[in-house]
Amino acid sequence: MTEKRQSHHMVAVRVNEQMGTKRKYSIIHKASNPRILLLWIMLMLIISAQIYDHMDDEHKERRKEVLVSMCDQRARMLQDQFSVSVNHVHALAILVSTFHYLKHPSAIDQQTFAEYTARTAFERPLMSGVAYAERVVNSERDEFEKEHGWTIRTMERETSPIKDEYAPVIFSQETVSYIESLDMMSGEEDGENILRARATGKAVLTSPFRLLGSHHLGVVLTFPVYKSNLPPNPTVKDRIEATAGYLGGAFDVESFVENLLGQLAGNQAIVVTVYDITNSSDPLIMYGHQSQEGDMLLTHVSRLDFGDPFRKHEMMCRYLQKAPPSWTALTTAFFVFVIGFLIGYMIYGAAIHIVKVEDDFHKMQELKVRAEAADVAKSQFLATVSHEIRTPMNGILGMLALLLDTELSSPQRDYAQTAQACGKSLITLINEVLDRAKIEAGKLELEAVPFDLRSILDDVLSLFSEKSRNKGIELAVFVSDEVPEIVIGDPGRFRQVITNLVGNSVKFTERGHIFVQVHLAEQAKAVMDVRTETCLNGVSENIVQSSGHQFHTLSGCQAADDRNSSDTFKYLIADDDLRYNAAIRAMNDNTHQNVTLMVCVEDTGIGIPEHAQKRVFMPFMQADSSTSRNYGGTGIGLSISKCLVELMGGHINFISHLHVGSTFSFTVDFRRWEKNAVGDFKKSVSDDLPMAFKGLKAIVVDGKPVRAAVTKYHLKRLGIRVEAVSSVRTAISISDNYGSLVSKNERLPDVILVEKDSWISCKDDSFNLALSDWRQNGQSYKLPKMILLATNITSSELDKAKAVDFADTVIMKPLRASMVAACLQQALGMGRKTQQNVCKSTFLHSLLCSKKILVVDDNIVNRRVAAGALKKFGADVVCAKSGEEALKWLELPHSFDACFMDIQMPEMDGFEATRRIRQMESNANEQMNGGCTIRGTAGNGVWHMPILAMTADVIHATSDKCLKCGMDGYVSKPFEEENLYQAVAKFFESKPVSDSLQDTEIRQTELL
Amino acid sequence: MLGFGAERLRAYMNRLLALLFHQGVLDEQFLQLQQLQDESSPNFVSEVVNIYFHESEKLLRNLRGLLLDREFSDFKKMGSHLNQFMGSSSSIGAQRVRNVCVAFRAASEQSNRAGCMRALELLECEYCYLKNKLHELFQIEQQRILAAAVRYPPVQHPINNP
Repeated sequence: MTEKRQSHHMVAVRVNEQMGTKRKYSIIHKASNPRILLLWIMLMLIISAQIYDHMDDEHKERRKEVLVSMCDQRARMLQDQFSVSVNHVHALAILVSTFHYLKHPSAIDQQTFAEYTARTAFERPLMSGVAYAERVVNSERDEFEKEHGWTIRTMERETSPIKDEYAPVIFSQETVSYIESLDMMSGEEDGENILRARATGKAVLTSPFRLLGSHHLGVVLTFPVYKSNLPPNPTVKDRIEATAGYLGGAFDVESFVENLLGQLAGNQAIVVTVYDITNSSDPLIMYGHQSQEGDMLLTHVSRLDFGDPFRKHEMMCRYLQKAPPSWTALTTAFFVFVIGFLIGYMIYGAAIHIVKVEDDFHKMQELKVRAEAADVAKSQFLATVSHEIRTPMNGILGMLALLLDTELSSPQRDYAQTAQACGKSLITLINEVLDRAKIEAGKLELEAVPFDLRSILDDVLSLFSEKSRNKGIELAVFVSDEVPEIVIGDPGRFRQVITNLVGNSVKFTERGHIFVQVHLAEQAKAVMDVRTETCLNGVSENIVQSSGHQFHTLSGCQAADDRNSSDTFKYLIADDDLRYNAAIRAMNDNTHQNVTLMVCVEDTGIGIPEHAQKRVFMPFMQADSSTSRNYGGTGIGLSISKCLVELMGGHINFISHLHVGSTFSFTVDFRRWEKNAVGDFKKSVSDDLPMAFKGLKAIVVDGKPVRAAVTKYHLKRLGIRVEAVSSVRTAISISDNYGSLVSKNERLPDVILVEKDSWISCKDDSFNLALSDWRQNGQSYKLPKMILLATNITSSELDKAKAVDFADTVIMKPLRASMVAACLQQALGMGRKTQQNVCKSTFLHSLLCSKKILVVDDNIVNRRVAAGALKKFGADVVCAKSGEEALKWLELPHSFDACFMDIQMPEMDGFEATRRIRQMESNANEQMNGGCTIRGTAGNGVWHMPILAMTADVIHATSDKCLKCGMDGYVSKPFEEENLYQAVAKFFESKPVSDSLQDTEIRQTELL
Repeated sequence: MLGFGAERLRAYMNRLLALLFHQGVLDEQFLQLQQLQDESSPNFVSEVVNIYFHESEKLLRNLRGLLLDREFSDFKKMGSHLNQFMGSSSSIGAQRVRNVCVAFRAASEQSNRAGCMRALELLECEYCYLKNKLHELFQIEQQRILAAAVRYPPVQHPINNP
């Protein structure tokens, strides 16, 4: 129950842990929410829009920069070109001043001027033409008109009215020859220009107006020409007075700019407009249109300086086409969005997947918990069932014990003992079933106790002897001499593995033999090596051997693993060199105290089909489905065996041929038993084989060497010297030899064991003859006993055997040392002595004899039974039926040696009674501290009577309570000899050994 | 019956014992009891068993009286009776009676009167069966002793005769 609660607790803890992990994964849970995905997508949209904006801005900025640079470039070019033209006009003005006024007579006339200007027109590409107007004061007009032969006219080509002064054109380029004789002062712009020009002495420009000839927009440039050199820093008056005339030129701005832009064409389509902004509130267009075409959003204005400080000009540029949408920005933003979206979606998908997997994981965990619970339930079921089986088994065992108490003949006793041993094995097997659950849980712990390997093997053999006998299979065991007698390991597990393997073999074998061998692993390996070598060297021999009629195995049937055939076996048992080596190796091994054994179980059964061999060690897998139908079983045994063998530090494997047989072999590691500490323990570990046969001599007659070796092995264990011969005749001749050698103190064989086959094979009467012959000859000395060994024997054969003087005994196989011993005892007429059991009860008898014991129990039946049991061992019993009565009896001084006290009694229970008794005793002890000798105690002057509790339930808690109350021990209520013995021995051990005990010891030594 | 040989009676007795063991009526404690019987106390088993019968009948009477009482409430007393019964039953190895006692005691500890009634009936039934069988056993035993006293010539087995 507590365990269960614990497991619940464990589950709870685990769930808590899961909660913890859940918290850890909460981010992922959030990520799986579609709203989060939507949010993410929105975020990505915003980000991509911002990226677009940013890139677009950059693009615009770049566009603007381009526009600015283009505009500035154009403005600069225009300005440069303009100033070049102005400079040239300036040069012309100087030319006129130089050659017209400083020379007398003038070097320039109209023709010269026209030609010169025409030839230098390329210098002034922007000017439609230049002309020179002379300053004429009104007083000089007439003279001037006369001189030139024409009158001064106004711009309207009419004769000029009278003014203070005039500026008629006297020289003009051919392109503008139509303005000759026109008074420039009469034109509004021109006049103003002239006045400004002579005042400043610099080039001045008019505001734009339609030119006379071309009707293009244009400006007029005017330079003053002075008669004489001006003084430095001249005043305006000085300038006006010195003025001789004006040189003017018309700039055709429209065609000029057109021309200029034409040079730069092909770059970008931009709209250029040039304004005169002298009057800033009303800019005048010099070039371009007022129309709103082009990109109105982006304009750039560049300042122009045409060299006239009075007039201000500017150039305005803008793109002809609107800014195209920025494709790179658009695509970049789009891709960013797409990538962001994909990333978001991927995270979302992954999160959903993770959540799903997590859910599955939780589900699985829950299932796992349930499966574990089911496993616990299964283990409980196993425990219950095996407990239920144990109960009837106890009945069986009890009956067998009853049977063994009766007078039985030797074979009967053996059968009954076998049955009892089998029953006990069955109970251990049931316990082993319980262990299986432990193996599966990995909780199995191996014991490390010393045990006798050979007796374990004998036990296993006895378990299957009945079955094998019924089937007519030979079952044999052989343990190599090199294997230590006692090893430290887990006998239960070792036995379980062997039992399983032998059980399988018995199950699947119908004829032939089952042979269990135990060797040292090194020894076996060395032999295998030798064997392989010989195999390699002599393949042909092997073939001959296998094609032969008989195989050199135990029963003559072929075995799967021919390494175990007699050749190898001979190596194993007979090769002295090898044995020597093995012994040396064993010595070396001694240093590290480990011994590795190799156990082979060979059978001649149906074998395992090739395809099934792989899954032999898998649980619940049998060779095929029909196997369990034909042979039963669950197929779990081998898997358990494998687990166990691996736990014991070994390996298991097998060789199998269909219809030939299987050989399972495994290795196990045991520790060596310290030789010097053998002492008493050895006796308790090994089943005591009677040693009465020590020194006897026997001859084994057997045609098959392997089988003979097995017989020899068992006899050797009994201390009998054995010689094996192959036929009866040889045996007899040897005996005869001995007969003749009697004088030499050679011992005659005491027993001759004849294998049934060997006996049957000499069908002729030679056997009988030889025997009778021998009998007659050998009158003088004791005849050896004849014993027949048989696996199975028919009654007719038995009669026949009796007839030919096998009267002594027939030993049924499989051989076991103890059984052989029992049979030999009967045959040799040695008295059968029940040793140990008798010893123990006599010992108990000696302990309790004439002791005065008080039995306290309220239950009359129990009282009677306890009294009977104690009386049987010679005790003097007094009964008391309650605690009070017991106290009365035990009033000091009394003569009781011990008290058996029931615990559960009405009124005063055992604990209370004991407490009072102890109190009485301590009071008495205090009083008599003097030193009187007191009877009925251990003799050291203190009252202390041993009180033993009688309890029905021997639980630890109860026993502890018993000891606490001052009791000295406890016995389980229905008295058992063993239990009683153990409890009582503690108190009476120190007493002097009685005569009867000494008797027992003497008897024991006699037995040895 | 008197004509049977001692051996046959012995075999019959063993069979009967085996049956009782198989049914779980008896357990190993009975064997222990038998082992206590020897020359010094030849009637030990029957003596003990008779005491057991005597005691048990008294206890059964008491139990029935207790349960039939209308104003019954003394489950404690009943428990002590049952403890007695259980102890003596386990002493002679009457396993099934003992098991019923355990169930009975459990019912009485829970003050389950109906359960106690059922258990009492079952207990009486088991007790009756045990008593009959043990009487039969003792009868055979007596006959065997009688038969053993009569000397027949020993039966010779063919195998023993060469």
